[in-house]
Amino acid sequence: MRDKTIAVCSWLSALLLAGNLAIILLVLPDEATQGPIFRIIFFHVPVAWTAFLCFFAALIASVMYLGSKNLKYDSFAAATTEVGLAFGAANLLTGMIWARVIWGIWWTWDARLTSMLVGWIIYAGYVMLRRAVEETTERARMSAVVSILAFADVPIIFFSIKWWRTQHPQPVVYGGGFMSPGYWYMLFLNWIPLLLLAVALLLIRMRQEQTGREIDALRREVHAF
Amino acid sequence: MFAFLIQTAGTFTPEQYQRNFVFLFYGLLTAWLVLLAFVGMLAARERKLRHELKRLRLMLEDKGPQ
Repeated sequence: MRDKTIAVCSWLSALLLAGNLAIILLVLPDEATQGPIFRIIFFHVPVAWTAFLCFFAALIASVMYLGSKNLKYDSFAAATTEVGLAFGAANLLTGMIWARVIWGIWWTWDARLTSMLVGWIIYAGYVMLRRAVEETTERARMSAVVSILAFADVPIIFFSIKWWRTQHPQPVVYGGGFMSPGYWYMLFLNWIPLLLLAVALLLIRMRQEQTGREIDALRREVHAF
Repeated sequence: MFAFLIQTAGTFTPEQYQRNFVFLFYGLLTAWLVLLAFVGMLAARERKLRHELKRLRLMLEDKGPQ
Protein backbone atom coordinates (compact mmCIF):
# COMPACT_ATOMS: atom_id res chain seq x y z
CA MET A 1 0.00 0.00 0.00
CA ARG A 2 2.78 2.41 0.99
CA ASP A 3 4.81 1.55 -2.13
CA LYS A 4 1.76 2.22 -4.30
CA THR A 5 1.20 5.60 -2.63
CA ILE A 6 4.86 6.51 -3.16
CA ALA A 7 4.63 5.60 -6.85
CA VAL A 8 1.35 7.47 -7.38
CA CYS A 9 2.61 10.60 -5.59
CA SER A 10 5.93 10.55 -7.49
CA TRP A 11 4.39 10.12 -10.93
CA LEU A 12 1.63 12.62 -10.30
CA SER A 13 4.17 15.11 -9.00
CA ALA A 14 6.45 14.61 -12.04
CA LEU A 15 3.58 15.03 -14.50
CA LEU A 16 2.18 18.12 -12.79
CA LEU A 17 5.62 19.68 -12.44
CA ALA A 18 6.36 19.13 -16.13
CA GLY A 19 3.03 20.73 -17.06
CA ASN A 20 3.56 23.62 -14.65
CA LEU A 21 7.09 24.21 -15.91
CA ALA A 22 5.74 24.50 -19.45
CA ILE A 23 3.14 27.07 -18.29
CA ILE A 24 5.71 28.99 -16.24
CA LEU A 25 8.25 29.18 -19.06
CA LEU A 26 6.04 29.38 -22.14
CA VAL A 27 2.64 30.79 -21.17
CA LEU A 28 3.16 33.21 -18.28
CA PRO A 29 4.37 36.65 -19.38
CA ASP A 30 7.47 38.30 -17.92
CA GLU A 31 6.98 40.42 -14.86
CA ALA A 32 7.45 44.04 -16.01
CA THR A 33 10.20 45.13 -13.61
CA GLN A 34 12.08 41.89 -12.91
CA GLY A 35 11.92 40.09 -16.26
CA PRO A 36 12.27 36.29 -16.61
CA ILE A 37 14.02 35.73 -13.25
CA PHE A 38 10.70 36.49 -11.53
CA ARG A 39 9.53 33.02 -12.56
CA ILE A 40 11.78 31.53 -9.90
CA ILE A 41 9.19 32.63 -7.33
CA PHE A 42 6.95 29.74 -8.45
CA PHE A 43 9.53 27.39 -6.92
CA HIS A 44 11.13 29.60 -4.28
CA VAL A 45 7.89 30.29 -2.39
CA PRO A 46 6.19 26.84 -2.59
CA VAL A 47 9.38 25.06 -1.44
CA ALA A 48 9.49 27.41 1.55
CA TRP A 49 5.84 26.66 2.39
CA THR A 50 6.58 22.93 2.09
CA ALA A 51 9.61 23.25 4.39
CA PHE A 52 7.56 25.16 7.00
CA LEU A 53 4.80 22.58 6.81
CA CYS A 54 7.35 19.81 7.36
CA PHE A 55 8.83 21.60 10.38
CA PHE A 56 5.34 22.13 11.79
CA ALA A 57 4.56 18.42 11.33
CA ALA A 58 7.86 17.61 13.08
CA LEU A 59 6.82 19.85 15.98
CA ILE A 60 3.46 18.08 16.37
CA ALA A 61 5.10 14.65 16.13
CA SER A 62 7.76 15.62 18.68
CA VAL A 63 5.14 16.82 21.17
CA MET A 64 3.18 13.60 20.60
CA TYR A 65 6.33 11.52 21.14
CA LEU A 66 7.04 13.22 24.46
CA GLY A 67 3.43 12.59 25.48
CA SER A 68 3.17 8.97 24.37
CA LYS A 69 6.79 7.68 24.07
CA ASN A 70 5.68 5.95 20.87
CA LEU A 71 8.70 5.69 18.55
CA LYS A 72 6.49 6.01 15.47
CA TYR A 73 6.12 9.71 16.23
CA ASP A 74 9.88 10.03 16.56
CA SER A 75 10.34 8.41 13.14
CA PHE A 76 7.78 10.75 11.64
CA ALA A 77 9.48 13.81 13.16
CA ALA A 78 12.90 12.69 11.85
CA ALA A 79 11.51 12.03 8.37
CA THR A 80 9.63 15.34 8.10
CA THR A 81 12.64 17.30 9.37
CA GLU A 82 14.95 15.80 6.74
CA VAL A 83 12.45 16.46 3.94
CA GLY A 84 11.96 20.01 5.28
CA LEU A 85 15.72 20.55 5.23
CA ALA A 86 15.94 19.54 1.56
CA PHE A 87 13.13 21.94 0.63
CA GLY A 88 14.63 24.64 2.86
CA ALA A 89 17.96 24.32 1.05
CA ALA A 90 16.19 24.67 -2.30
CA ASN A 91 14.48 27.81 -0.97
CA LEU A 92 17.72 29.40 0.24
CA LEU A 93 19.62 28.66 -2.96
CA THR A 94 16.89 29.82 -5.36
CA GLY A 95 16.55 32.98 -3.28
CA MET A 96 20.28 33.64 -3.57
CA ILE A 97 20.18 33.28 -7.35
CA TRP A 98 17.20 35.63 -7.58
CA ALA A 99 19.00 38.13 -5.31
CA ARG A 100 22.11 38.10 -7.51
CA VAL A 101 20.05 39.37 -10.45
CA ILE A 102 17.65 41.73 -8.68
CA TRP A 103 19.79 43.08 -5.81
CA GLY A 104 23.20 42.53 -7.42
CA ILE A 105 24.41 40.46 -4.44
CA TRP A 106 24.22 36.79 -3.53
CA TRP A 107 23.46 37.36 0.12
CA THR A 108 22.64 40.03 2.67
CA TRP A 109 22.26 39.70 6.45
CA ASP A 110 18.64 40.77 6.24
CA ALA A 111 16.16 39.54 8.89
CA ARG A 112 14.33 37.11 6.57
CA LEU A 113 17.43 35.58 5.01
CA THR A 114 19.31 35.35 8.29
CA SER A 115 16.41 33.81 10.24
CA MET A 116 15.88 31.25 7.46
CA LEU A 117 19.57 30.32 7.45
CA VAL A 118 19.60 30.08 11.26
CA GLY A 119 16.49 27.86 11.15
CA TRP A 120 18.08 25.63 8.53
CA ILE A 121 21.25 25.29 10.61
CA ILE A 122 19.25 24.44 13.76
CA TYR A 123 17.35 21.70 11.93
CA ALA A 124 20.63 20.44 10.43
CA GLY A 125 21.85 20.25 14.03
CA TYR A 126 18.79 18.12 14.82
CA VAL A 127 19.82 15.63 12.12
CA MET A 128 23.42 15.60 13.39
CA LEU A 129 22.21 15.04 16.96
CA ARG A 130 20.23 11.99 15.85
CA ARG A 131 23.36 10.49 14.30
CA ALA A 132 25.43 11.19 17.40
CA VAL A 133 23.14 9.51 19.97
CA GLU A 134 23.12 5.70 19.76
CA GLU A 135 20.47 4.76 22.31
CA THR A 136 17.03 4.84 20.67
CA THR A 137 14.83 6.29 23.42
CA GLU A 138 17.47 8.79 24.53
CA ARG A 139 17.88 9.91 20.90
CA ALA A 140 14.11 10.23 20.46
CA ARG A 141 13.70 12.26 23.67
CA MET A 142 16.58 14.64 22.93
CA SER A 143 15.52 15.06 19.29
CA ALA A 144 11.94 15.86 20.28
CA VAL A 145 13.12 18.61 22.64
CA VAL A 146 15.43 20.10 19.97
CA SER A 147 12.64 19.95 17.37
CA ILE A 148 10.23 21.81 19.67
CA LEU A 149 12.83 24.48 20.45
CA ALA A 150 13.87 24.76 16.79
CA PHE A 151 10.32 25.51 15.72
CA ALA A 152 10.49 28.78 17.67
CA ASP A 153 12.48 30.13 14.70
CA VAL A 154 9.77 29.34 12.13
CA PRO A 155 7.32 32.14 13.13
CA ILE A 156 10.32 34.50 13.24
CA ILE A 157 11.19 33.54 9.65
CA PHE A 158 7.57 33.87 8.56
CA PHE A 159 6.86 37.24 10.16
CA SER A 160 10.36 38.77 9.90
CA ILE A 161 9.36 40.74 6.80
CA LYS A 162 6.45 42.22 8.76
CA TRP A 163 8.30 42.87 12.01
CA TRP A 164 11.46 44.45 10.59
CA ARG A 165 12.38 46.57 7.60
CA THR A 166 13.98 44.07 5.28
CA GLN A 167 15.47 44.01 1.82
CA HIS A 168 13.41 40.89 1.12
CA PRO A 169 10.13 41.74 -0.68
CA GLN A 170 7.01 42.24 1.40
CA PRO A 171 4.68 39.24 1.81
CA VAL A 172 2.26 38.68 -1.03
CA VAL A 173 0.18 36.17 0.93
CA TYR A 174 -0.76 38.11 4.04
CA GLY A 175 -0.55 41.74 3.05
CA GLY A 176 2.06 44.36 2.16
CA GLY A 177 3.16 43.06 -1.22
CA PHE A 178 1.14 42.67 -4.38
CA MET A 179 0.92 39.94 -6.97
CA SER A 180 -1.21 39.70 -10.07
CA PRO A 181 -4.00 37.04 -9.74
CA GLY A 182 -2.59 34.90 -12.58
CA TYR A 183 0.77 34.64 -10.82
CA TRP A 184 -1.04 33.89 -7.56
CA TYR A 185 -2.87 31.04 -9.20
CA MET A 186 0.41 29.58 -10.52
CA LEU A 187 2.04 29.85 -7.11
CA PHE A 188 -0.58 27.55 -5.59
CA LEU A 189 -0.76 25.34 -8.68
CA ASN A 190 2.95 24.62 -8.38
CA TRP A 191 2.69 23.96 -4.66
CA ILE A 192 0.51 20.87 -5.25
CA PRO A 193 3.18 18.77 -7.07
CA LEU A 194 5.85 19.91 -4.62
CA LEU A 195 3.64 18.75 -1.75
CA LEU A 196 3.12 15.41 -3.51
CA LEU A 197 6.87 15.08 -3.91
CA ALA A 198 7.35 15.87 -0.22
CA VAL A 199 4.79 13.17 0.70
CA ALA A 200 6.58 10.60 -1.50
CA LEU A 201 9.97 11.45 0.05
CA LEU A 202 8.44 11.39 3.51
CA LEU A 203 6.96 7.92 2.98
CA ILE A 204 10.30 6.60 1.69
CA ARG A 205 12.09 8.08 4.70
CA MET A 206 9.46 6.64 7.08
CA ARG A 207 9.95 3.20 5.53
CA GLN A 208 13.68 3.55 6.15
CA GLU A 209 13.05 4.42 9.80
CA GLN A 210 10.90 1.30 10.08
CA THR A 211 13.67 -0.80 8.50
CA GLY A 212 16.13 0.81 10.91
CA ARG A 213 14.02 -0.29 13.89
CA GLU A 214 13.80 -3.79 12.41
CA ILE A 215 17.61 -3.86 12.11
CA ASP A 216 17.98 -2.75 15.74
CA ALA A 217 15.68 -5.58 16.84
CA LEU A 218 17.62 -8.14 14.77
CA ARG A 219 20.92 -6.88 16.18
CA ARG A 220 19.62 -7.40 19.71
CA GLU A 221 18.49 -10.89 18.72
CA VAL A 222 21.88 -11.69 17.18
CA HIS A 223 23.73 -10.49 20.28
CA ALA A 224 21.36 -12.45 22.54
CA PHE A 225 22.75 -15.76 21.21
CA MET B 1 -6.76 32.19 -18.37
CA PHE B 2 -3.62 34.31 -18.20
CA ALA B 3 -4.66 36.84 -20.86
CA PHE B 4 -5.07 39.64 -18.35
CA LEU B 5 -1.42 39.32 -17.41
CA ILE B 6 -0.03 40.29 -20.79
CA GLN B 7 2.71 42.84 -20.32
CA THR B 8 5.97 43.59 -22.06
CA ALA B 9 9.46 43.53 -20.65
CA GLY B 10 10.59 46.54 -22.59
CA THR B 11 12.88 47.88 -19.90
CA PHE B 12 15.64 45.32 -20.56
CA THR B 13 18.43 45.37 -23.11
CA PRO B 14 18.80 42.04 -25.00
CA GLU B 15 21.99 41.28 -22.98
CA GLN B 16 20.24 41.94 -19.66
CA TYR B 17 17.30 39.85 -20.76
CA GLN B 18 19.55 36.94 -21.73
CA ARG B 19 21.52 37.14 -18.48
CA ASN B 20 18.22 37.19 -16.59
CA PHE B 21 17.16 33.99 -18.38
CA VAL B 22 20.51 32.29 -17.70
CA PHE B 23 20.09 32.97 -13.98
CA LEU B 24 16.53 31.65 -14.10
CA PHE B 25 17.95 28.46 -15.60
CA TYR B 26 20.59 28.26 -12.83
CA GLY B 27 17.88 28.79 -10.23
CA LEU B 28 15.62 26.04 -11.53
CA LEU B 29 18.59 23.72 -12.01
CA THR B 30 19.79 24.34 -8.46
CA ALA B 31 16.35 23.66 -6.97
CA TRP B 32 16.17 20.34 -8.82
CA LEU B 33 19.76 19.39 -8.06
CA VAL B 34 19.15 19.89 -4.33
CA LEU B 35 16.04 17.70 -4.39
CA LEU B 36 17.80 15.11 -6.59
CA ALA B 37 20.75 15.04 -4.20
CA PHE B 38 18.30 14.29 -1.38
CA VAL B 39 16.70 11.51 -3.44
CA GLY B 40 20.21 10.15 -4.10
CA MET B 41 20.96 10.18 -0.36
CA LEU B 42 17.71 8.33 0.33
CA ALA B 43 18.53 5.73 -2.33
CA ALA B 44 22.03 5.18 -0.90
CA ARG B 45 20.60 4.79 2.61
CA GLU B 46 17.95 2.37 1.33
CA ARG B 47 20.65 0.16 -0.24
CA LYS B 48 22.71 0.22 2.95
CA LEU B 49 19.70 -0.66 5.14
CA ARG B 50 18.62 -3.53 2.87
CA HIS B 51 22.14 -4.91 2.83
CA GLU B 52 22.35 -4.73 6.62
CA LEU B 53 18.94 -6.35 7.03
CA LYS B 54 19.93 -9.20 4.71
CA ARG B 55 23.24 -9.67 6.55
CA LEU B 56 21.57 -9.83 9.97
CA ARG B 57 18.90 -12.27 8.74
CA LEU B 58 21.61 -14.53 7.35
CA MET B 59 23.52 -14.33 10.65
CA LEU B 60 20.38 -15.32 12.55
CA GLU B 61 19.71 -18.21 10.18
CA ASP B 62 23.26 -19.44 10.66
CA LYS B 63 23.05 -19.18 14.44
CA GLY B 64 19.50 -20.54 14.66
CA PRO B 65 20.03 -24.34 14.78
CA GLN B 66 22.88 -24.16 17.37
